[in-house]
Amino acid sequence: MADTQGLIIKPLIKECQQGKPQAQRTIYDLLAPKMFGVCVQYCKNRDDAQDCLQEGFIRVFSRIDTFRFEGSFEGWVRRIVVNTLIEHFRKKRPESPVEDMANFQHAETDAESEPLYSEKELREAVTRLPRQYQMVFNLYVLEELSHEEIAKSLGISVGTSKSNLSRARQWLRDHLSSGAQQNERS
Amino acid sequence: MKSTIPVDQQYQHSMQHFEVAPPPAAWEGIVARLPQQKSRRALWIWLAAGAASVTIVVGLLDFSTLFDIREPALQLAGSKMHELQMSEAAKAAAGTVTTEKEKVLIPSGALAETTAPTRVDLEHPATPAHWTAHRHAESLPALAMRSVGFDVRFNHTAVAKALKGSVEESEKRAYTRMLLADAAPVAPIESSSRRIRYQVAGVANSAYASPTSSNGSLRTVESDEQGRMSMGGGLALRLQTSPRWSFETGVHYGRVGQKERATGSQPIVLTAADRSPGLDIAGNHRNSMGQLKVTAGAQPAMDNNFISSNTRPISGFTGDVLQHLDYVEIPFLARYRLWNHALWSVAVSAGMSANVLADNNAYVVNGRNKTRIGYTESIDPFVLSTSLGVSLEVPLSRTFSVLVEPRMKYFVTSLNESFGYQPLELSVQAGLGIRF
Repeated sequence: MADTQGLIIKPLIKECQQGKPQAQRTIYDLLAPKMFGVCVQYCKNRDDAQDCLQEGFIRVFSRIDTFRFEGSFEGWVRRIVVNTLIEHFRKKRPESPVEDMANFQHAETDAESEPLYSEKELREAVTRLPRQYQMVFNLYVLEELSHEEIAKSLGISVGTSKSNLSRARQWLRDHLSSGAQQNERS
Repeated sequence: MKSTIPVDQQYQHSMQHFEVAPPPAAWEGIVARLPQQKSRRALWIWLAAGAASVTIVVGLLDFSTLFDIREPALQLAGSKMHELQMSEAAKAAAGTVTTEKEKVLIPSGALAETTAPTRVDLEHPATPAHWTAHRHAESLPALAMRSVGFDVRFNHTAVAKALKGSVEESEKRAYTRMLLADAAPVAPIESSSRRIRYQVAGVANSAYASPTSSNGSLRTVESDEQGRMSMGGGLALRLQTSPRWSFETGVHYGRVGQKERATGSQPIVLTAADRSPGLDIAGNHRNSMGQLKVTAGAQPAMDNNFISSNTRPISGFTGDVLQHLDYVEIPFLARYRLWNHALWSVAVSAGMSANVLADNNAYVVNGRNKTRIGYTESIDPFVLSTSLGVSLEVPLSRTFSVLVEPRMKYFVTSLNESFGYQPLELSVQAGLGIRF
């Protein structure tokens, strides 16, 4: 969050810490669009995204007393929302066993030949990833977590996290390039 | 078009300013589940209502009795009076006085016309002097009390005239009753008035806490949640400021809690991603008390309550969930004695208590097998409660007495604000009191 916005938001946070509803609403209006964007990218449908957004903001307002103004407020809110998304994922964990790195055939493509995708199709493609791939890919790319951190958060092995990330990348390339080819033909 | 930007970076860039407007219902859903300021207002309303109730009760029960000790039945023997009664002169004088008083106060007619002042001085029965009325007829109860105390000189004429002119029949009866108490040893009024008496009591109680939830933004009470019986105990210090009024404080250790039963169709499974202690599994299981935090990841695998799965990277517990919150309670109670019998007394008590959280535990129970798994999250370390009770006190001697008090206690502030957990506790306290 920009410094200027930080200056604006600091009194709001203090009012929120006093439980003032108007301040809560203002903070929600400021941050909800961005957080809902995050939720949409982590979830399979809008309903789940909305549930996570609500749960995340309830936790934000319930724990806002613990915010010490030592870092970015938006970053703090985002961590809470992402933790909520992780918990949501773990509650709805896919039943099928996931691959381990030992069984995974590494299939990296040459980065220099990476096509340039449109932002919209890229975001939509990520939401269509298999659920665990989507979660690992988002945590790795957007939250910049290490495989050890992802493994601990999701309750999977480090190898599984690595394999899921590679498969997610490959899946995206396959689906995005096929889409691009169809577009070119049409 | 080919690029040198990996798909990761392209995606990261696409998300930098990506925003989606949430539906309006999202905010409404948040508001509905947020603990609002109105809950704080509700607390003040509760406190104000409690204070108003106490004030009204005090008013109805005659505030004038609050600090005024004047009832002869409760003023037990003073040594001075006892000595007086034992002396021959006092015996004779007392007999005279009692007779005279009865004549004055009961039929009143003939004696009201007595004009020659008859003089009786209890301490110096042979010394002639004038009697003086210390009180006017309007202050007859006080006068009567002094007569009971044997330390006031009467002007029979004045009293008789006052009685003849203005005393109602009911007042006569009151006098008669008081004078009959002359037979019992009674302490002088000067030495006993405004004296505060102390009573220390050790009490133990059995309590049932019923789960109730109000203003709960996250959870309401489920049908499979049951209250728990628990034991507690402590010390009570009672200050008796008048025969009817006393005030109580002390320290009391008590417990509230509940059991959530696992049903066949919906077993409670608490999972932990690994077995490291302190693992936060918040979100996996919650009930009306709050969200469970499992800290027993390192539990030995041979524990019957511990389950693990080879197909899924989880392990955890299943069974009934038992949650306990132990509080140290410091009560501030007012007590009003309703009935006072020679062998027993009954009083009502009401007031507020400050409760400080002392312990917080969660268990999984299967039959007799009980495993501590962690605790309930976000429990408030300090809560207020109100209580209302009816006490029975049976004196064993002047010093010792047995106390029994059924009491209802309600937590006016939530033990877990987000979940609105405000249990109602019904308890029976029993103890032994020592009076100083």
